Amino acid sequence: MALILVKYGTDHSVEQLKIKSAKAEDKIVLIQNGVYWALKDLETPAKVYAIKDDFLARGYSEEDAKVNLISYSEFIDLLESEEKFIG
Amino acid sequence: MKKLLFVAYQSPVGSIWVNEAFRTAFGMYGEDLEPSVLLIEEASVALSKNTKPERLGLLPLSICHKYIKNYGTKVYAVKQHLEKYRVKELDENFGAEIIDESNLSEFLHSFDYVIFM
Repeated sequence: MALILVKYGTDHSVEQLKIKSAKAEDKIVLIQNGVYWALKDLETPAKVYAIKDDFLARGYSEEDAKVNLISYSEFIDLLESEEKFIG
Repeated sequence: MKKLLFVAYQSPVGSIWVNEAFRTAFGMYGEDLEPSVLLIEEASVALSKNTKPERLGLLPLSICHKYIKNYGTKVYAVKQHLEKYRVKELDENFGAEIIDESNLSEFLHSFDYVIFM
């Protein structure tokens, strides 16, 4: 239903609020420092993705990610497929 | 008409984002869009009668009041965040509607675009 963009790390209260607000039909994309959330087991009914380049650039390997990793072009496809945006 | 929500979360003292959120919202009226503003976390103190960024040489929050009235811009705040930052006397010029944190998810999803700034 909505695409939710998370760009700050796990200590950021606003990003906690966004993730908490997500519904099952939503898609969450972790971008920039938001990829640190990909190291955690997120409690959300929404589908969660992280930008692969942003994740690997911070010294992690694909195996470290607990969410699906996507490219920037796949992120654009997700953006276009959702009618609503929260970010 | 698409509904936009600008969410300010930074203090109006030490940053200019509350005023920026309102300025951006007012600019939307020329684009056939319906903007609203939500103040959360530290930005909640913008609603206090006693908050005066101008004491530090920053823009006063009162510059928004006339436009809020003219455009009928809806302003929202979260009850629990007002309590967290001990906002006691609300400035009525904002005409803010107070929502409960438990309704925040539904509230955010009622807009087409939600921009945190």
